[in-house]
Amino acid sequence: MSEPEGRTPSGQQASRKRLNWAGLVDAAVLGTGRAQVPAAAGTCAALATAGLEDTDDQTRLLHQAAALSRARRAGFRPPARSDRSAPAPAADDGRPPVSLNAERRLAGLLAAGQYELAAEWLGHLDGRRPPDVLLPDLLTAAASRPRLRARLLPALGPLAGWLAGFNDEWAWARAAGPLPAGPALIWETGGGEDRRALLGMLRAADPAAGRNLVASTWETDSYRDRAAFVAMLTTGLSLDDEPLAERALADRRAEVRRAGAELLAALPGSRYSRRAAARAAAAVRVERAGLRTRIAVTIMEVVTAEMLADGIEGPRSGGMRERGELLRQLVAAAPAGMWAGHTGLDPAGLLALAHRTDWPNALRDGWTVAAIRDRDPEWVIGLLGHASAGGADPGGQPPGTPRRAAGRPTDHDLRLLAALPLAARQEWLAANPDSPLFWAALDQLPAPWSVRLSDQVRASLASLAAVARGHALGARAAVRLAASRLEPPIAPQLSTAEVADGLATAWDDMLAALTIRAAIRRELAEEPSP
Amino acid sequence: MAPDAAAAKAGLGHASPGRWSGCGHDASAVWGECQGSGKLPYRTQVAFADGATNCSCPSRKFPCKHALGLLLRHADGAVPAGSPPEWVIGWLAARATRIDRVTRDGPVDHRVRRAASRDAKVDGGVDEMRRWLADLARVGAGAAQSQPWAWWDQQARRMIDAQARGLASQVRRMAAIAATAGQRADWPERLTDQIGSAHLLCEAWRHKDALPEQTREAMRVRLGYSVATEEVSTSGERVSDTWAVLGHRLGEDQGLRSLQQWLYGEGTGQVVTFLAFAAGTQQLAPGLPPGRRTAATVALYPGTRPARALIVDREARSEPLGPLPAEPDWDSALNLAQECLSADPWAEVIPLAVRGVTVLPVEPWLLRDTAGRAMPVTAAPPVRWALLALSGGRPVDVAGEWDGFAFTPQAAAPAGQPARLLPGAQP
Repeated sequence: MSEPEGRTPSGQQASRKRLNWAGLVDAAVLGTGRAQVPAAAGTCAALATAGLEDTDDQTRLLHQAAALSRARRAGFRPPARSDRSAPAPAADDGRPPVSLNAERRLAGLLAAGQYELAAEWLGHLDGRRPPDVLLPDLLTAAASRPRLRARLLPALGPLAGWLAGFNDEWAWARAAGPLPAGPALIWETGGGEDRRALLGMLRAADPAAGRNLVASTWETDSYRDRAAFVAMLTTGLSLDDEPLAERALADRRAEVRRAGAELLAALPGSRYSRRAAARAAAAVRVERAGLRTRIAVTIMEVVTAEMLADGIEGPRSGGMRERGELLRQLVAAAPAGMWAGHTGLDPAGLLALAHRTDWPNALRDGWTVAAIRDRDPEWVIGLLGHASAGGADPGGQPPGTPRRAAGRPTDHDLRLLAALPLAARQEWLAANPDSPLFWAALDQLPAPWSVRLSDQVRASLASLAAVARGHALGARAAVRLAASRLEPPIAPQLSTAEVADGLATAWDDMLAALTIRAAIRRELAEEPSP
Repeated sequence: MAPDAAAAKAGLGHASPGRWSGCGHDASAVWGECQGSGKLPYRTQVAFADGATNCSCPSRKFPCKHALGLLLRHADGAVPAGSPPEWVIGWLAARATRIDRVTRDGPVDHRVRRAASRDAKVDGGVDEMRRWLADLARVGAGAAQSQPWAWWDQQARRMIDAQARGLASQVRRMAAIAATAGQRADWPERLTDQIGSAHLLCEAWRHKDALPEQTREAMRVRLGYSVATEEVSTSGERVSDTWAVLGHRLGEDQGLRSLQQWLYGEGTGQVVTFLAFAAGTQQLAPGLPPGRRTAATVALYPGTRPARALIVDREARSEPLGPLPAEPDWDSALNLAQECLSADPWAEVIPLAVRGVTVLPVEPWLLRDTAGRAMPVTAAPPVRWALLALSGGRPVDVAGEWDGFAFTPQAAAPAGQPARLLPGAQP
C-alpha cells in the first residue's frame, strides 16, 4: 500500500500511460473528455478496482483518484534535501530570558495591537532579552512605529540582526547586536536603510568611524544621501567633524549646503559659528545710558560673499520686511550661548528689551531657532516664559492684546519646549500646570514621567475630571494620556462616582490600563522558571 | 445525571437549605421553590417516573442546577412528604397526556423512522454527488478550477439540503483550492486529492454494509451524521492523561464560531482533538487551557481519527508546557499518521510532532529532520518567522498539522526545552 507507483507489466500497451499519481493528476485536470484514463496496473490495479465495478471512463478515473489519493497520503515521505544548506546559527545572546508570565503579557499586548504598552514593557526589560519567539512580531510592529522602534532598538541582541538578514522589512534592525564585521562592505554595497542604520549606530559608538565612512563615498553618493548623512552627524558631533561639515557647506547642491550650515551652527567653536557670532554681535548690541538700557540694531547694507557662503540669504530689496528677515537669519545662525557674554543680560532681559525695538519678531524668531538647535535650557525657558507672559505680541498691536487665542498652544511653543532635555521639560511642566502647553506637551513627553510630574498630573486630572463638561473631548484625551504614562501607575485620588458622566468610560479604561501597567512591572520582576 | 461538571457543582451549591421554600414530595414527583437571582423564586419539579425535570429558570441546561439541587436535597431526606400544589399537578397532568401520545405512537418506531428518512435523503445526496463528481471528471479539474464560487456553492447547498453536511464541506474545500489556485502551484494535486476523498466517501456509503465498523463510523461522521454527546459521555472510550494543548484555533464561518484544539496525551501518547461550536451569543466551550498541560479525563467519539474527544472531567490546575512529546524524525511521525489513515481514510489534517528539525528559511520553506528529509512548510508568515526566531538557526522540536502535502507548525521548542504555542496559533 505504501508504493503508489504502478509498475508497467510487460505487454502493457505503450500508448497507455502508466498509472501513477502524477499521471492521474494530469488526466484529472484535463478530464476524461480530452485525456485517456491511465490503465490500472500492478498493485494499483488491485487498489483502484478492488470490489468496484469498472464502468465508464469518468467512474474509472474517480475510482483511481479515490485509491491513489489515499495511497499517496499513506505513503507520503518528504524527500531528502541535502542540497539545501541551513543558515549559520545566530550568535548566543548571553542575557537571561523573562518569566513566562511576562512573555504571555507581551504576546497579548502585541496581539491586541497595544503597542504603547508593548513599548513600556520593553522599557522594563532591565538587562534581560525580549522573548525570541515574539521578536518577529516586535520587529514587524516597530517597522512602522518610531516610538516602539526607539524602545526596541536598545533591547535587540544578536538574534534580531540574524533574523533581519532574512527579511528586508527588518533591514533597520540588521545592525543590532555586536558591530557588523565589515562596516565598509555594508556601507559600499548596502541599501539606503542599511547605510543609515549603520551610520546611526556607528556615530553613537565610534563617531570617527562613522565620519570616515561618510567621507569615503562623498564623491559618489547622491546629493540626497549626502544631505541625509550630514544631518545624521549631529549624533556624536565634535570639532573633528568640522572639515567634513565645511565640505558640505561648499557643496554644489543647496540641500547639502543647508545641512552643512545647520551642522556647523550646532557646533560651538567651529569657524562657522565664530563667524556667525561675530556678525550677530555686530548687528545686535546693548547700549547703556545712565539707568536706561536699550538694544541697538545695526543691519548691514551689503551682504558679503562670506555671508552668502555661510548660507545667509541676502535681502532682495531694502524694505523693512526683507531687512527683518536678514536680522532673523543673523541671530538664528549665532550660538544661543553667546548672548550672555556679549550683552551681560539673561534671555528674559533681552526679550523685554527686544520688545522695544523695531524688530521684536525678527529677534525673537532668530533666538527661537538658535535655542531649539542648541537645546539651550536658559533660552528655552526664557522664551517660554515670555510667551506665556503675553509679552511677545507682534508689532503694531497695543500691549496687552492676547497674542493668540487663550489656551491654544502653538506648534512653535511645543517645539521650544521639546528642545529642553527630558528632565528639565518635566520640571518646567510640573511647575507650570496652568500653562496652555500643559496637556499638549505631556502628549509629546515620552514615558516614564517623573514622580513629581505624575503627582502634578494626578492633581490636575482630579480637578479636571470632576468638572469636565464643556471640554469633555480634551479631558478624555488627558485621561487616556495619564492612563499610559503615570509613574508609578497609580490612579488619581478620585472615586469613579465623582467623575463627570462624559468621562466615566475613559476613566474606567484608565483604571484598567494602570492595572495592566502595574502587572507588566510585577511580571517582569519575576524570576523565569528554569 | 448532571449534564457536565460545572452543572453538578452548581447543583451542589443549590442544595443548601437557605435557598429553598415550599418543598415537598409524593409518590410521583418532588417539588420546591428556589430563590435565585430574580425577584420571584424559581419553581422546580422533578417527575420520578422518568426523571424529567421542569424549572421556571432561564437555564438551557437540562437538568438545571435547581433541579439537581432539589434532587440532592431529596436524596438527603431533607424534603418532607406532602400534597403537590396547583403548579405541580398541572405539569404532571400535561406530561401524562404527552407521554400517552408518545407511547401510543411508539417512541422507538419514531426514532427509527426518522433515521430511515435521513438515510434516504443521504442516499439521494450521495447519488447526486457521484453524478456531479463524474461530470467533474469528464470536463476536468482544470475547467472546474475556473468556475466561480457560486458554482461550487450551489453544489454545497444541495448537499446540505440532502443532510450530507460532510459532502458540502468537501465541496467547499475544493472551492477554496480552486479559488487560491493562482497562489499555489500544487492545486492540481490538491484538487485531485479532494475529488478522490469525496468519491471514496460516496463509494463507502454505497458499500457501507461491507465496511469494518471503525471505518463505517468514520464514514458516517465524515458524511455529517453527528453523535450525541450523551452517548459519548456514557459509552465512549475513556482516556485519563495529562494533556498538552499544542494546537488552538478559533474560527468563524457565517456566524458560527468554532474552537479546535489538539490535545497530546503525555502518558498514553494519544493525540485527540477537541471541537466546540457556538452560534450568536452562545458561549463557546473553552476546551483545555491553550499552551499548557492539564490532567483530564476525556471520552472519545467513535469513528474519526485522530479521535474527537469530549472533556468529561479535568483538574482546575494547569501547568506550563514541558518538552514536546515528539517523534525522532518525519518517517516515524508519518508512520503514526498512516495508522490514522488506515482507520479513517478521510482524515484531512493529521497532527505530527518531530524532534530536532532545522528550519530552511528560503522559499519554499522546509523543515529538515536529522535523517535529512525536508517537509515543506505552509503557514502564515508570522507563524513561520516565530518558528525561525525560536530556532535561531539551531534545531527545534515542532508540533503541528500535516494536510497531506505540507506542514503547519503550531507549537515549538528549542531542542529538548519547554515548548510554547507559536504566536498566530495563539488565542
